[in-house]
Amino acid sequence: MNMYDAITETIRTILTERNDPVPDLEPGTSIANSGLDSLDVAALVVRLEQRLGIDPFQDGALARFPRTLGELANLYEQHNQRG
Amino acid sequence: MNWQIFMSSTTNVGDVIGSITRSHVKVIAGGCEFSAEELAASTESLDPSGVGAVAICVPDGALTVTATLWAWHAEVDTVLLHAESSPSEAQSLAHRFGCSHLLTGNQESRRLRFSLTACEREIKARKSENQRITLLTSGTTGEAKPVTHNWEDLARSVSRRPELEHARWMSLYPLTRFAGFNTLLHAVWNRATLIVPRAVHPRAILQDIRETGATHASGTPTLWRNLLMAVPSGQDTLRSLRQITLGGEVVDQQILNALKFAAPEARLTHIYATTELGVCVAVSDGLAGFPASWLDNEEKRPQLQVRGDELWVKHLHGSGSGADADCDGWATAGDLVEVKDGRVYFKGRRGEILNIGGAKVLPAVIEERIGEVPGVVGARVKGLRNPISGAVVGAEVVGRSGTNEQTLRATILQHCRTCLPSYAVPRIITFVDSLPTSASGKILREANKTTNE
Repeated sequence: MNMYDAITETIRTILTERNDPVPDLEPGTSIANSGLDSLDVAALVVRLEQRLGIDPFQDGALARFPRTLGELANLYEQHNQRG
Repeated sequence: MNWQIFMSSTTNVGDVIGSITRSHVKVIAGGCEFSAEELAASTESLDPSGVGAVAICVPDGALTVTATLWAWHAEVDTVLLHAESSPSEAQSLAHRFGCSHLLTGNQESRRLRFSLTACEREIKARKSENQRITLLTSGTTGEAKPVTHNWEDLARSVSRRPELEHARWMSLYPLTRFAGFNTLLHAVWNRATLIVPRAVHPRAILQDIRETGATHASGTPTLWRNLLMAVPSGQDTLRSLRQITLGGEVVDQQILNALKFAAPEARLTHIYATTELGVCVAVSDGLAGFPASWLDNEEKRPQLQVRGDELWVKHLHGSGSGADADCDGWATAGDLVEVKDGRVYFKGRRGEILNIGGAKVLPAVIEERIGEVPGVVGARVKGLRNPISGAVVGAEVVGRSGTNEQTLRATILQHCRTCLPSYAVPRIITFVDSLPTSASGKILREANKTTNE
């Protein structure tokens, strides 16, 4: 599964678990408009780490925090390729 | 030179055995019943002369009672080690606490066997005026600490009433923990019966309650929740209980109500006690927390005070030597409280505070809210570490059997969103069959590294 799909699927799970509406999720959708608050984003990172075994934020040396779902997926892809 | 004095100050074997026999305590352990005579007989080979201080390390049950009674009547200072200590650990602890002897033992069906070995150190047969017993803290907050009590103070703290001779006391704590030891003392000093469950497993405990007709039982809220879960539907296994005591963890209204329902004739008492401070608060009105009128009340023993968000305690006697008391004798174990509507509620320990993106919250506060949702049997809340917020709230939930997890998760989230601030609402809920507990029956909490005070 590619990282973008893993991310959007996890966001959908978070929102449906608590009966919140799921907005249209596109690569260009900003994280702020994905239906998640800042702690949900933290929880998303925890869930992705549990699911994929990687956490690109762990490095602590991000040049720029990703703003869209596409950028977030890229970050995970890059981290995954570096192993 | 001092041999004569030394000899004359030493209790002899017969005295000790006679004293144990006169205690009339009965022990039911592993399904076997032992009379005081049988317990005493098993110590016939133990010679107390020359014993300065003894460390006891025996499997939990009849052996613990016998060894403790033996040491008490032999008038030697005692260190009660946890049963799970390995032989080499027991040796080194005995040495560390200055014991001249180590008492070990084993049980083969009805036979109790003891072995008293001298430690490799100078023998100092010493009869202190106040005979002492040392227990170790449960060590949930780091290395186990020794806490020493005077037998005299302990004797004063146990209520003795003639009708209690018929009581059948069950300890759901290991007897070497302060709470379990306290149960042992109640049974011994009331010449009653002490019941030690054959295994610390809900079904085994329920079987023992049923078979022995236990009347008094004492355990953590977590253990009581696990017992309530294991009672087969339609059965009233807990009906023989007349006194239920809860302690060791925050006691909420949910568990009190559930126990009242399962054991309608039992008086419910929840106590706040620590190994260091002893019993500080005991409440039997069926409500969580304790009356705020107990605070700053000079009549109250021990005295209680809230400083900031912490409960402080002052004992009149020097009991609780393990606590770091200030110059006026006030001490705290770091337990956090909230005063609300004339009641003081326990919230948890300072070390348990979770830091969620800078906001502080106690796991027990969230667990109580989750427990309010119908279908939830128990919950454990922990901080899930992450580089973005430090931690987010995660909850492990035990649901009643046959519950739809998806529906229950949505209901929990909905309930938490109405009664908790957003940061305290669990972001990840997983369902588990049971919650991990310590040897004392407390919920296991991971060391909390995300808190930045």
